[in-house]
Amino acid sequence: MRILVHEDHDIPNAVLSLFFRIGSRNERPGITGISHFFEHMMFNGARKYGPKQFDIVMERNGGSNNAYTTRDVTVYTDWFPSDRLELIMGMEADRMEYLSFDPKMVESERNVVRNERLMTVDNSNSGLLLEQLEAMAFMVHPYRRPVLGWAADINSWTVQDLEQQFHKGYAPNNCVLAAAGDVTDAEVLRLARQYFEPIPSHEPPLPVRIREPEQLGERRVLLRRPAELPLEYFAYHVPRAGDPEHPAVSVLASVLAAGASSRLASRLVDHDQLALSVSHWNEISLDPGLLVFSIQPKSGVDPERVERAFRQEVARVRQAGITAKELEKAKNELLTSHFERMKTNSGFADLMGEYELYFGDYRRLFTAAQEMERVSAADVERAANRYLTSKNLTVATLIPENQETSE
Amino acid sequence: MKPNRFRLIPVLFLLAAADAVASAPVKLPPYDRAVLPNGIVMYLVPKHESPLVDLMATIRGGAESEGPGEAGTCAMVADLLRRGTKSRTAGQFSAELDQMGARFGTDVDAQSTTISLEVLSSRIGHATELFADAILHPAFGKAEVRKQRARALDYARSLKDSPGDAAWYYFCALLFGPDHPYGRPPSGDELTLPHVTHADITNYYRRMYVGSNLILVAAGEFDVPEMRARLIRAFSPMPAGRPYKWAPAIPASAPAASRVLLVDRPGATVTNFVIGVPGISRTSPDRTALWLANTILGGGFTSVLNEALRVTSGLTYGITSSFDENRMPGAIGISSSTRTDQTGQAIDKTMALWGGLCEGGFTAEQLAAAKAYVKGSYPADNLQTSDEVAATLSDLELFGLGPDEVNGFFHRVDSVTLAQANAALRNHFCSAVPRFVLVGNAAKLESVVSRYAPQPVNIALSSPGFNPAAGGPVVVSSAASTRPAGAVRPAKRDTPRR
Repeated sequence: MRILVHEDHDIPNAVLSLFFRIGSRNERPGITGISHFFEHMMFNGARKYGPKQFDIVMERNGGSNNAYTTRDVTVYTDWFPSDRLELIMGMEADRMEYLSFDPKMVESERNVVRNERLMTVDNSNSGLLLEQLEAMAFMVHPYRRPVLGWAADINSWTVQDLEQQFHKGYAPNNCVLAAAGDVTDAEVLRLARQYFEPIPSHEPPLPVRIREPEQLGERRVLLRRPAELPLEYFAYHVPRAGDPEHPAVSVLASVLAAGASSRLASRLVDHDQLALSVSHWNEISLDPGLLVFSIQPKSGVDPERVERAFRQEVARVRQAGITAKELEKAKNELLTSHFERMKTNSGFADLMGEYELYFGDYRRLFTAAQEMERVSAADVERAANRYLTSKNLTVATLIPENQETSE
Repeated sequence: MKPNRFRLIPVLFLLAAADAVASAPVKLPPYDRAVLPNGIVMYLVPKHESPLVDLMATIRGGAESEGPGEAGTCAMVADLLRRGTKSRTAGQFSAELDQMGARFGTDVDAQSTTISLEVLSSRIGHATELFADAILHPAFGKAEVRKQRARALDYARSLKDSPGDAAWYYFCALLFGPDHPYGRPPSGDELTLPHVTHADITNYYRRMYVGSNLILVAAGEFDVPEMRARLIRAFSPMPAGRPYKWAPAIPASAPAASRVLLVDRPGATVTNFVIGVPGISRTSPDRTALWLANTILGGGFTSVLNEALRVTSGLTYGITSSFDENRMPGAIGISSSTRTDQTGQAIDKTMALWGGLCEGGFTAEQLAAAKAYVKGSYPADNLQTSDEVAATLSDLELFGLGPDEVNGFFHRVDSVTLAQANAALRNHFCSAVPRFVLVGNAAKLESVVSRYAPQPVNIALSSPGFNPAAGGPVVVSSAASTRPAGAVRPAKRDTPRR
């Protein structure tokens, strides 16, 4: 178990984040979503703290918690008054070693997840479109499957599936613990020795060897749904976090879509007035992931016009590259985002864990700015030509059902 | 989310729970407050957790300073600040701002407009100049006004694509009515925005964006004397003007029987619902007791509502209750979403738990747990980062509250007695008939909603605006069908967790 501590005594509070190296990437067909379901079950009873007591004891002591599952990891975060550090460490150790599965809790939690899926996918045009996009952009890699799981799989998870997940993923050797706030290194280490050291290690999950083959041609998804406004996603396969080209891709994405003066926003939102908003994301990932541009066309605007303008801007950056000014602008934007995440205890804990897991060493957190500084305009142009090709593109479009638009 | 009913918990746990949480001191960081000759109230808060500075300007007024037909004026003014100034086009302004990696944002709420900027400390000189340029010298060019109106209209439409948010706007419209400033979205809607003229915008700006109506806060990594001189230089040219005079408080409408608005979202597999009653103002003497009461009912993960509807039955991903903290009494609302065919079950359970609390009151254990939870989360929510501190100080100044609002917070929480918490519950959660809004598949919900009011109003999600009157007459039933549900207690509205 790797332990990372950041001291900050501004407020009498602290945060613990536990990162387990297991996520939907480690799942097999038929049990998709089990990592996320397991994350829910982590709150439903262990040995010392039985069903419901984890949350009750935590809140009764002024703490609160949350958790999230991604394709690569499952993360549990606790916020608490710093004088409760020992209690919280003990609670985390209890469920890491002794989680149990009360069949009644399994069934009610299954309904919670059904409702979560209904709310964030079925009931959300952007959620549904994203799920379709990822399933189309990846042919074989598990990133094609939703973290929440397919609806049919949600119905069929078993207690045995949960137990297997527990044995695969939940042991100190598969965990990174990040603490931030009003704590000291010595105190965290002493308590970690006391509570986590006695927990036996497990065999970690099997390595994920599958690699997505190179995309050979453009792919498209078209959804027609009741909606007020259309929505379009443009996705390109890009390298994993930690890849030497990752910083250049981040700069490229920023030049195209960060801020009102970015290439896409100034063209589509301001000049052509075709779109209401432009955004982008390039989630860090253990295996190569997607760079996604999201554009909301204005009402009455044919999404095809938006797509044409989008493609022109991409072609322009591939042909002519970016200016020195744009390079500096993107670096400032990325630097500000980086520092913004360091402002809160939980942001800092998350960053430490992310750098340790995705970039191989938490210390790269402190050299990230220099790594970005080394990116040149030529690196960005090269990345644009390598990744922003139509062969590597998946387009997902949502067209309001009630609106007439040519196909 | 929230806690549970402690009487169900084993004795062993009750003993452990009796361990009171120590109240570590919580107080505002050191700051400097000054009033400039033109009336600007200026705060400086040096803070060194990251190499960033936050600037925040607050203009008193907000939604309440707009007339009923002009909702959205205040937000249009705010959105246009960066769309061209006397010396910079919109494009130049964005280019300069982005070049520094700075973030610029505006927000309009019930009583104020907030303009904020975050930037690397090394760029604070140029950033302050841009920030002041937007606030002091916006150009309001005609072409930019037209573009912004079109964007605002589309934004108003896009709210309907987020049914949970939309449900809240419908609820406010139902609770406050179209003549109350809290009854319409502060960003305006499809019915009001077309009427906001160029003259409305420039008049609003001239009247409201004046020194005596402005609160300015800088927080973050900077040298105090330098920052003070920089802000004085940038903001001294602002005319003093006259401070906005707060409108007299208007109560929410008080129908004799419960009202239901059913918003049809054809084909929806989920129902988003909000149920609520009129609440309190930001400065109400009941605010601490109400905060605790809300926490017990629907504030945290182990709240009475979340425990029953999520943890025990899985009827929802989450259910929360919250209350507004505005200048005039605002709303108290319970919101959640559930599968269409379980809508009746979820709402029945909500009403039963709410009614049960109104009848039986809280237990001492519930109150103790709520106090620990509220105190435990307060510092990280209000005092951790530069932008949080800036927002907290602006809030104190805006509402005329002193530093004791923060520094004495733990003491006030500790002092709330069980009788006071129960009084807050009775007086605010249990005394008015509830209003219901359901956004979902109307064809499948009609029989459900008739349980809560005999003549529900049915409108289409796609009809413009949020005002139920726009979709047909609102029928106020004279029959008292639904018993006043009990309590909701305010907290900020939160998305469900995990």
